[in-house]
Amino acid sequence: MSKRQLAMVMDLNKCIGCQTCTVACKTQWTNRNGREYMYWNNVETYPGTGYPKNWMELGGGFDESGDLQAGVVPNIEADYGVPWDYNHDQLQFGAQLKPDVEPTWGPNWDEDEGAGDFPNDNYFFYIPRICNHCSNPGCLSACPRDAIFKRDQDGVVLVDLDRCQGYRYCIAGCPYKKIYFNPKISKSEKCILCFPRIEKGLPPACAQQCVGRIRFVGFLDDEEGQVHKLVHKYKVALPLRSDYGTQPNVYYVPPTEAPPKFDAEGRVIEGSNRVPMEELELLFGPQVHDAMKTLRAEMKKRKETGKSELMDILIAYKHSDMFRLDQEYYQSIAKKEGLSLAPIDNRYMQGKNSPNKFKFKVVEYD
Amino acid sequence: MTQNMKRRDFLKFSGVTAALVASQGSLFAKTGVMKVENGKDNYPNTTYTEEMYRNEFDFTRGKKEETGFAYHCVNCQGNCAWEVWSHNGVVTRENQSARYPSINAKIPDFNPRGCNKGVQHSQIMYEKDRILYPMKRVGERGEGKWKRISWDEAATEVAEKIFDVMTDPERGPDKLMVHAGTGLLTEGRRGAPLRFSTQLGAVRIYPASYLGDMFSGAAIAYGEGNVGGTYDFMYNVDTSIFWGGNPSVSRIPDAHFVWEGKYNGAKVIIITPEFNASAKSADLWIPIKAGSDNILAMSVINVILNEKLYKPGFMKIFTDLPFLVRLDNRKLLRRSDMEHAKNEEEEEKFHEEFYAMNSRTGKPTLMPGTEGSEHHTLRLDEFGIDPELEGEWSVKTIDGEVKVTTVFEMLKKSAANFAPEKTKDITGVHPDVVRELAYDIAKPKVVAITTGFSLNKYFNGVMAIWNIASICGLTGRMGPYGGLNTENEFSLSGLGALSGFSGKYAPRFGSGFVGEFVFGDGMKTFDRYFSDEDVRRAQNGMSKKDYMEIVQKLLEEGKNGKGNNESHHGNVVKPWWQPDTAIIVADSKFRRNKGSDYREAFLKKTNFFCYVDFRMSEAAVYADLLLPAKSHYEVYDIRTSPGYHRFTNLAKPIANMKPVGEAMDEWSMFALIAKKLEEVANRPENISKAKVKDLKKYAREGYHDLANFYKEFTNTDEESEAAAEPYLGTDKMAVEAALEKCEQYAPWTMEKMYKAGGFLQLNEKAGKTSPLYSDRPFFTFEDHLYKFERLETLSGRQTFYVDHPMFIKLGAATNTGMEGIRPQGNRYPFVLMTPHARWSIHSNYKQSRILQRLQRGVPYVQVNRMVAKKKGVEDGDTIRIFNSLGEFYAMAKVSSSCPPDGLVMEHGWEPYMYKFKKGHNEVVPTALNLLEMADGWGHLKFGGLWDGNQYAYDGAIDFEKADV
Repeated sequence: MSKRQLAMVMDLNKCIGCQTCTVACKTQWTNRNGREYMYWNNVETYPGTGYPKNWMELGGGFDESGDLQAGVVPNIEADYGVPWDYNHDQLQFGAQLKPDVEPTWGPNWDEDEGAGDFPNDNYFFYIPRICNHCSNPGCLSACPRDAIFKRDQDGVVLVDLDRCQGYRYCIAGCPYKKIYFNPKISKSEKCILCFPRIEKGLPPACAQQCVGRIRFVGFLDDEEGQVHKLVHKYKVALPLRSDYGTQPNVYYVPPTEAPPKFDAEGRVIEGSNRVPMEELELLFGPQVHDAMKTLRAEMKKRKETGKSELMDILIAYKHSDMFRLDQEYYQSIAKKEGLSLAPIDNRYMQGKNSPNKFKFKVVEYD
Repeated sequence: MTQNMKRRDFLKFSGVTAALVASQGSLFAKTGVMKVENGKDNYPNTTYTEEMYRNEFDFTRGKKEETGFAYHCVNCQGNCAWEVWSHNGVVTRENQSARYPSINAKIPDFNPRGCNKGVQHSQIMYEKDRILYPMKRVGERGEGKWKRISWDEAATEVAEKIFDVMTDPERGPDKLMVHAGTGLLTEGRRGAPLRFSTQLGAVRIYPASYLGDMFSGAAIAYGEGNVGGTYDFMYNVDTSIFWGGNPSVSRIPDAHFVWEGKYNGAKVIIITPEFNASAKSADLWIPIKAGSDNILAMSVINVILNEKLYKPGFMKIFTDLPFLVRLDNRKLLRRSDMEHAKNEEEEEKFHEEFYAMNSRTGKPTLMPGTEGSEHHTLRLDEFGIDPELEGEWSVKTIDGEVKVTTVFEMLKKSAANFAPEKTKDITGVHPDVVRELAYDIAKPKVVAITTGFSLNKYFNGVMAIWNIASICGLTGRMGPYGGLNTENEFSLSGLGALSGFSGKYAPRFGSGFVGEFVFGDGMKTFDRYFSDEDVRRAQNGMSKKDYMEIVQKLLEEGKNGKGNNESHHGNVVKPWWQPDTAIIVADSKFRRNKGSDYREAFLKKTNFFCYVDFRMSEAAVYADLLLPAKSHYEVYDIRTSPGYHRFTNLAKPIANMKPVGEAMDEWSMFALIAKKLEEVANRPENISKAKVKDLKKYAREGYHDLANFYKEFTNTDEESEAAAEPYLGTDKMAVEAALEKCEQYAPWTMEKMYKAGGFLQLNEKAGKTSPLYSDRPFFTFEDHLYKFERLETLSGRQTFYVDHPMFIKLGAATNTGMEGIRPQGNRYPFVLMTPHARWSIHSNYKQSRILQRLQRGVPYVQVNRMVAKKKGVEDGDTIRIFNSLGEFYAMAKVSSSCPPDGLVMEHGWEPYMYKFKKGHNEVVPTALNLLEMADGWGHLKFGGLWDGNQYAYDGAIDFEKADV
């Protein structure tokens, strides 16, 4: 186990499916060098096939006795989608703007489609997904080279690009299919939780740039932090498919909010909810019942009394307070390792070991 | 690791991946043997990988002190502060600045703002559709044959064309159009084409109108289209209604306030025909039938009236509901009906003074605060007035006894026809749901009804917004109690210094929706497409023949601004001109305009078409001359408008920016053309023609002085120098001038904005009809509610009654419901809805490969799952969508979120993205609404407030699986 674990909570009630996270990640890491087809961060519409296609059916993870399960390496064309390109340079010659590969599948192909009968009971919601930086990573266990590791300081899971041989067992082993093969360098790559940003005081691109303000980042052992409170105090943030046995460190506030259904005449069915509980139970386990109960009770309390710490946290008054990156902790490690990681931002530095965010001087704009 | 032995078994490859794996395994063994106990702890080889990613991050971040700032000033109105990161003069990526200060610790802040489009501008600014150099067409229009020319040649050619058209005795300034589209909405750069246009007296049209984004219904009600608040207002409301709006898709930077407001106790109601990203989290989603919004609103009014949910105390003071209406001619009772005026001036005033029945005296009494009244307050108490809302009386006018009643009675009569049980089949909304909606609006303390831009896209959309405004008026919604939220706009004074000339020249505004209708021969399409039955349904029984005659007559009166030029009491008709020379900036007009014939008609009528943009839009493809503009990260600029928040953002290029081709900012570009124009005008053979005559309305001295053009453009002429006007001529100078001249920007400077993180906070003077408090969200009309100030309407109050003859003729003198003009019946049973897009801002960013990969890569349209099954259409099939006007092809996206009687397609696709380059407007007809054509009444006189809308959803269509 790593000494400490950095984690993320995503609030599915607030997710608007805009994919600013996806694109922020893309420009930060995956628009180049063989990563073009990868989405370290993606947002999928549920119910839907997800990304890569039907990932929940592709195996990996562990069974109850802790044995790694068989898995499938997805196919570029059929499962990930080919990152097609365009003839932009031909527009000046009066051409039709066309993809160079006929698009038949992509990472967001079934966006907003949902399921059910319009308008009575159809529904959908969004699930943003990054690497779960699991405490028991399927990818790590599957690697025959032992070339996947967890960073001691924050539990970030990385592929050792020095030693990786590109065998791709990791892809089969990850039940979330959040590790990818880079054909250009013949090695696996994956979400790195933007650790180079975090070390310098900047939250991960997907989280800092999330305009729905749905993502909290902090250490699980930071009792003052929202992540700790949502996961451990209120127990309203749950891991996705924890039944895969990898102990994920990304947590979700389940979607309590959906409009009521209509009956055949178009009357509102009071107290109904479009999102079936059995679907939520599949995704977030039996704990989802208690989590939903707590969330609803706190929302009711807020409506009636104007008070609720849980609602205060989820509302997130100050964007910068959503991230507690514990800069002093990182600086002390850097110092030990003889690294110079001068912080570039002082807004997100607080944490268990960093009570004062103004301690560090950062470069100003002038 | 007990799992190892199973590896071979569990590793299965699907498809072609298997072939790749065998060949690559042993190529990259580099490191020597390393003993790894357990990768979860104390991994011995972390540094190699960590350093690689750290270096990569450092590369994208670049040096902090080289950071640029920008926003994306296309027509999304979001306006978000972004850091622009760079490496060695090349932009790498963007990251929100996210430094807006919190105004109140108990209200969420505005950070980080931004969206999926803005976050990838860095990726498209170097795309291969950039226009890099000035290009001159050498083949046929649209053929794609170009010759690269120098800036000097290009500017000279444009200047000569301008000189020719201006000085041709047969043509003149009104044959020239210099127009900036909505691809460039800023207070800095946009000023350049506007200034240039005004200085020439060239024709300009209102973008909001031709886009169908004008809040004409709000203008009727409030004398102001932009009403509502900053988006943080949504956090503290009790009910938050989005009527025809989908904030999670089309207000991405601000949507969080809606959902945070929900956590704070708000009930969120979404009224849209389709199930969407906002509906999915709402407390109530009302799946309304497309285009019936104005009728649903009438049903809500019906419930409010029948169940007495209205607020008489508010209505008496702040609305025209107590005003008296003559029953003989349905006109408002005016002072001119009761008294003879002594002179013409008094006559005019008497015509704008109105009565109510005073319950304290039992007599009709003149109401203070109306346009013609000498009293400019609404404090009825001071005048001893308590007006009756209900009743019928007989009053003695100069023409004898007439029966009168109140506007409120007229409204009740009109609303009686719209009981929820009666409208159920038209709106598709169950009466119980209508009642729930009415109660959720009327009962709580604070309610905001945000109207989406889709409401104006239907014929009679003007009624939808007016009716919703009236719901707010009946329930006392104003100021802190909420009300209609179209789009708040802050007041910015002094920016006329950039685009204007202190009265020396004034812009020649033409009507947007009429101008484009005429340009595209819209009448032909109208006549071809709509039946007599369609027109009668939508225009209160008026025949198609009568309708067309009326429209023709109004068009004739508005031609070349004639009707308005001859009028003594302000504008009376929609003016339009037919230019033959056009300089268009950032406006993909061949995509936007409806009907399949627009482009052809435009090109036929236009002798010379110069287009300015940074990318090849559909308009660029057909231009005669292309001028390369800089894009958002390469310029100095500034932007506030409209008013979703209280911040003004700065654009400042990254340090040592490497130029992209020969792109030029708009100020430098137009200054160059101005310079050439001055040179051309001063040529010996031209100098005698250089003073171009124009009406004094447009040129104070009666002429435009081309021989002094550059000096006037840059404020280096004698008059401007004497007046110490700011020098102009580059983007940076424009920003400096804006900061100096606009009082709401004080005391900020560019340096301070940069240091703050690329923005400034507006000062208290920015609030238009309410104060802009330092610690509270903004919402309009507090001055009205608390200080009893009059509204800028004819009555000085919220308007429920318009007695313009056209409104009376159409049965719409007060709020009513009217069906759309879209043909009905089984032949073309579907409505094509093309709402604002998640993935583009109109056509901007539609070509982005990064964004397209998150869509379908080609134009796609949502089809209801059941309907698709019936039609034998499968997801991914190409379908042909058609009606009698035309056809286009798109990929079917089979969805449970799409209504069975419609197809939903995000708009903005350039025609060149479709198969056979036929865009979706091929099947969209265009029509002019007579209520919006009506003009010259009270506050409804042609201008930025009162133009009209070009509609987008009036085509009925069918579709089939295509075999192409």
